[in-house]
Amino acid sequence: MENETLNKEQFNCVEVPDFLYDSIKEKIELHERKIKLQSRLIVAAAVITLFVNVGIISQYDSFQNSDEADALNPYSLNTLYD
Amino acid sequence: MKNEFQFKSIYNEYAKLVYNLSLHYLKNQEDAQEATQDVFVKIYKKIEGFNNKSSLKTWIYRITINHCLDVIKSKNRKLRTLFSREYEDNDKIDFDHPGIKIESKEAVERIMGAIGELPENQKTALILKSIEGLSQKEIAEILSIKEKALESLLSRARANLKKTIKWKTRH
Repeated sequence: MENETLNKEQFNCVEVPDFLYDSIKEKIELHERKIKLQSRLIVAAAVITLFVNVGIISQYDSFQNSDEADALNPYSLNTLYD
Repeated sequence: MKNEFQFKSIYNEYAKLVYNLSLHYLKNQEDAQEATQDVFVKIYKKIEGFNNKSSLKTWIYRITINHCLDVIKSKNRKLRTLFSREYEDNDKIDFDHPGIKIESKEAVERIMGAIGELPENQKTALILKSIEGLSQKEIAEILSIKEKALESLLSRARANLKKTIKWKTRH
């Protein structure tokens, strides 16, 4: 059993390689750039959606206010022929 | 990078802990370096949400352990699906732990190989107790279990380790 035990004394503390902090910094900066890009894309998508909605609503409004909305729909009169 | 000064001071204090713990789990320098990078990126992302319910050290231990266990899982999954034969020899091929003292290298490699085959919680309990040399109280806090439960976990882990080593020496 003597060989089957582990203890702290069997290990040396390993020094961290010097390049590691720079690699971590790079990864974090890449992550931050991604987040910025994502938030810009979300804002752009929201603005586009807003414009499309405003367009649809204004089109609907102008239709409601036009004479066309009051015009008789000939297809709705087909019950007259029954 | 925001709060670089604060992050750098956390890195200076805990990089050795994270790197050495990753080495104990992954038993390979390259994987441990990759894991250390990923752990610190996670720390950077989550540090603002850190509440002082536990100490910073305990929190960093938890992040490192969970990350290393995830790495092992995904590595095993990949190898199991691609090359089932290589999976069996994986431990021997990849073993590259620079921290093991030369006089006990062979025995320690054998034991660490056997520890690698234990269930996750038993593996963690043994690594933290035997290699990291933490107290029962600290380990219980990291694992979020009671000290009594940790005692039985450790005795199960030791019994299983004994069995695994016996089985390995026979085959």
